[in-house]
Amino acid sequence: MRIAWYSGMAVMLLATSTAPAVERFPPPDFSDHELPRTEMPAARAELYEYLDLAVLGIGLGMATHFAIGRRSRRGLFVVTVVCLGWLGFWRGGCICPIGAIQNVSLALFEPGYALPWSVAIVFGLPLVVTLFFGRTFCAAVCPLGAIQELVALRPVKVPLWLDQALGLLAYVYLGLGVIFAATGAAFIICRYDPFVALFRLGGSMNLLVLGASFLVAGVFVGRPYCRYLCPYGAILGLLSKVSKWHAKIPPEECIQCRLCEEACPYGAIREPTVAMQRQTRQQGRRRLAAVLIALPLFVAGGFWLGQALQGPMAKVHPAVRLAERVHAESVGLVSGTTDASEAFRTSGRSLTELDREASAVYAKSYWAGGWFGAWMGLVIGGKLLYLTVRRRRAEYQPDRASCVSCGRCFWYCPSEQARQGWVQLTPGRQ
Amino acid sequence: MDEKEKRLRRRAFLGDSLRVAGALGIGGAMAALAVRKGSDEKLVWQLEPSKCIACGNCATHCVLDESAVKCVHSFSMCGYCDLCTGYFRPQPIALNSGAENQLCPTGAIQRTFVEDPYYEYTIERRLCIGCGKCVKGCNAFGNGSLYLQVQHDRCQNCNECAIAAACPAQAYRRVPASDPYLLKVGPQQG
Amino acid sequence: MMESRDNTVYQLAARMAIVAGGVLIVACALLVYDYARRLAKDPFEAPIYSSLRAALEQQPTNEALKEHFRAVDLELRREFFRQRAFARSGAVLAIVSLAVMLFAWRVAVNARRRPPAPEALDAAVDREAMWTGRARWAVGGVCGVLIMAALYLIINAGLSGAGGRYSLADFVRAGTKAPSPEANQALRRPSNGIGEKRDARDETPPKDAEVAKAWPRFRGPSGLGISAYGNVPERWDAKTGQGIVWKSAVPLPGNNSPVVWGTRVFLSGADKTKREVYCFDADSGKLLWQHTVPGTPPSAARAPKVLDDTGYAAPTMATDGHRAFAIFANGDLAAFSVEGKPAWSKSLGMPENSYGHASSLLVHKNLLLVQLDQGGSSEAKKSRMLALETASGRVVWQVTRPVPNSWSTPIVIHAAGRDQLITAADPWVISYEPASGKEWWRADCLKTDIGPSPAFADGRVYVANENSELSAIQADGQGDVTATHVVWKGEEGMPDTCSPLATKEFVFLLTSFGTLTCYDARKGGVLWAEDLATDFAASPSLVGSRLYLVSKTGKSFLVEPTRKGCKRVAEGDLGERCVTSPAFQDGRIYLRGSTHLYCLGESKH
Repeated sequence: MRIAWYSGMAVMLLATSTAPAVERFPPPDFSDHELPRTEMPAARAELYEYLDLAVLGIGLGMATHFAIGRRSRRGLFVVTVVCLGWLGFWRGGCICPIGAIQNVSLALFEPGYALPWSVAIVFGLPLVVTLFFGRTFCAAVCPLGAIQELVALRPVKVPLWLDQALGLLAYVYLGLGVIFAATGAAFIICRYDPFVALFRLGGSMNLLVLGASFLVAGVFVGRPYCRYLCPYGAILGLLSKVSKWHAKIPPEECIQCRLCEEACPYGAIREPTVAMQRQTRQQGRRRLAAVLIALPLFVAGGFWLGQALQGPMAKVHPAVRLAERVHAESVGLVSGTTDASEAFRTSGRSLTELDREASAVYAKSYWAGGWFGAWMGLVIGGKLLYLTVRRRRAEYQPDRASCVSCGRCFWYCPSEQARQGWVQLTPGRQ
Repeated sequence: MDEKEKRLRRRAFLGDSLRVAGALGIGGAMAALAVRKGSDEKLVWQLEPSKCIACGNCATHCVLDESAVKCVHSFSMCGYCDLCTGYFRPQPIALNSGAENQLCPTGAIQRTFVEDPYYEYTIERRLCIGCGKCVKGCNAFGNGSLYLQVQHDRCQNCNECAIAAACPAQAYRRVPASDPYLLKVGPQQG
Repeated sequence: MMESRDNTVYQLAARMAIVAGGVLIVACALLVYDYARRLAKDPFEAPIYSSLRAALEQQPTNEALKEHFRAVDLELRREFFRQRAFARSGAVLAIVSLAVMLFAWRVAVNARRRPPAPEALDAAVDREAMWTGRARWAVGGVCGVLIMAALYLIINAGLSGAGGRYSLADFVRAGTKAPSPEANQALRRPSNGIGEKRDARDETPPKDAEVAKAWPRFRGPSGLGISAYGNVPERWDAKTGQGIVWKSAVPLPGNNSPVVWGTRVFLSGADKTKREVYCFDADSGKLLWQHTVPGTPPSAARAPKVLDDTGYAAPTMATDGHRAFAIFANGDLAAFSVEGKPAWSKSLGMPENSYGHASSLLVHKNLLLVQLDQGGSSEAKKSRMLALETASGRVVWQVTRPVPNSWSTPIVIHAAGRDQLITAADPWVISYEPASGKEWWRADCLKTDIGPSPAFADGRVYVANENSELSAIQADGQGDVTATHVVWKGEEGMPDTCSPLATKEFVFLLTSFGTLTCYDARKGGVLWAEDLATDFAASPSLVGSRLYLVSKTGKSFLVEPTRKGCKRVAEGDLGERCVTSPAFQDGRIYLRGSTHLYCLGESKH
């Protein structure tokens, strides 16, 4: 009989879907029936958290040891595989300093958000290590780097000029990641992490295809994500420039054989410089002066252009999109409703409140856009500065910003081979 | 020569000081950010049942093929209805557990007789896909004792939860890992 | 020796890499195939599923069909989990084969490793200067691309889907808000002539005697479901045509009941995009006129969300003999002269109503009264009672109501020497002065979603609803009368859709599943209950001493109640589903089925 009750109810529309708290049917008092417990499986034990941090720490230590101390490519390879297995496939790629950039940014700008200790350590530890030893984190610990390292089997050389220009994209990504995290709009670095779907053996088709594309591209272009997109790599690159014990190619003396340059799949090895002619030197000075003058202009121009991006920037935030949608629906600019506008209407929140939130994001986006533009101006100016200033080099050296300390060059270096005792250098032959 | 060596040593010292300062700076900044709010608690994702509109995104947007979100049942709130609108399709043919009457696409809800006229509904977690169909039914006509929750044995705790990003009701938020469920409580307990 | 060993290793590793690569490709292809298959058909959306279900609804007792359905359902569910397991194992296979391939490939590459043989470089060429020069240009290029992208975004900053004309920036910068529904209350002048011409005829409100003769609103002259005529038909049968005077198709569906004035029968109908008003000739069933109700901004832009079974035209129309009024689920209100000329129309704003607006209209003197209860909770303060001038649509008074959305229709009664407009909602039953909106009294009697309308007899207002109680309220109070004027209460047989019917002696409740419960009106208490074993949505009506009950299947029951019980006197069959209440006139009953309007009575021939 209750069937009819239900259908009758449906006819005369007697329910509000919005009031789940309504107790329509009083729960019965059972005399001898015990209510089951609601199942609440516990989260992973805290122990694992420490274990992950330990793996990260030990991995960093081992990678540094093999890259800088033992100079063993084989050792690095083992660390790579282990870290890829643990941090990548086992932990689903979510012990990730790359994504932690956003948590740090959010913690800086959003007073209500507390940065968890583990995230602070994950973010800070590789930075400190890099400050002293260069990018050993990238060499073997980072699962994103590791998977690309393993597929880099037939790398072609990307011309240095292109490599340098494309490297700018990482700074764009870094800027956007920080800005959107700061305004609370989205964690775009995580959202578009290309390998996370592979690590989890499933996920959205778009991400899987993206990951597979990066892997296929990675066979021919060494570490495309690390070099041209990774925002954390951009930070590490800057810190690595001042590192104290960065990996050196020849253990003692460079014999200028060029083998290492051939071997490096990441375009990170710089050849010795030749003496400059007077004309070039003068030209260089003039250029340097021009870039130095232009740098503040780049920053100012960037800010000006960036603040005009206020609208598009704000729209990344769901509250702004929702407010726009609700307004557009109410004045009839769009037909139909979306789940979001529907949910808003049933939530009982007032439009004024939503408007206030959206306006706050909108106002913030002015500064966010401006600072992003200024950052881009600074990055481009800085890059030009880097490309204008000549450093003198007497031997083959890794470019500390680009070098990920993968150790391939050791393998090829005749001095290293001699040191390891794999070959005997016969002085006579030279 | 001596002069040059001295200069080099001075430079090295300066560099080292800068590096140590940098390292301390990074460490200090991280510590400050972590300590500032006075909470070093780990946070996990959870969805607020009162905001949930049971749109179905939880089943389709999780990074896991089998979503980490599943339906839970607050037994103390349940009306133990004979005609459970979370269990039965609208206008069921008969009030029995025949597939033709069930709302759940995977048949994950079990209906057992308790005492006249009450029936108990339990969820087979293994089969639940978190589609929220029963949640919608229960909210529309029942007490709302069926609702979705992130199951922390499955949740990968992504830095940005993919379902949270796709949630039209913005029902997801981070909660302390020590108390990771937002359970509805029945009147007797409340 | 070394050479040949390396060669063997190379051969082995290369073959292994090729095999693993092959497996990888096959695994990926299978995964893509599986994905495409999953996209193409969700097992739970399989057409066989819905067709079988439809068949089952037709034959709910066919056990073999049920068994078949269950078998299909089980197979579909198995298929779902099989696909999930397949995807999982496919992914593992793909990753493992990828790892094997990479490993073998690496071994092969190492086995064939040739020391690089770089060419000698010309020491005089300043290669650094060359590539940095090019890099500067390339940086300039990237910079240009970024600027172009930024400009593109800035120019296309508008709202997608609205032609880029409109964005939040407009609100923020100009400090304006979207026009509220209130702002749209002003008379609109849509292009088809509505609102251009006022009816210039006699504006005096109809006399009570005229109203009593007609069926001008939901549940008759006073909204109590009581017929002024005793000579109405008792038996009819659509199959044989017995007792059917005429039957006319109604173009658009609507769950509203017919209203009648003189020789005209009014109905409304609507779908997602269209709203229409119909006028039929009472004698012949000819469609005299029909009018589209234009979309009135802002509600025109989108369709309201309503339950399928409610439809877009649930409220019954009202008429005062001069004009006919209709309201729709989207809050559009329209008035037409009875001859079919548009009089005025306006939008009351899209009601925030979980299943669509359903409260019917009524006319009291020169006022059109609209109970516009909306919002998920009373805190939303969105519910209103409005009184509009029938001639112009001007809002004469409106009051905010402390209740969430409801679906009941108010009545106007005369008790304690004053006119009272009685409204029922959760939790308040409120009595207003119809002329001013002043509140007479209120009583806290109802819970949850209120569908049944109030009833009145002998100085007492009766309200009832599922999950609440039947309350008899003496209608002569002042202020909050919950504690003082609720004379008696009853708990059994609570209706959720059908309104109560009250006489001096009895109060009848009819549940949707067919239980008719009779209470003693004076003292309270159940006298008897009768199970009619079928579903009801239409409210009961009283003709003389007999109850007319029309079930959802279109079967009707005529029962004679006494203090002891009830006697079934006659039955009729409309032959189509019916969720609306009948309109009684001299020797006639007008009844709307799901697709037709029927006039029941003695056929002329």
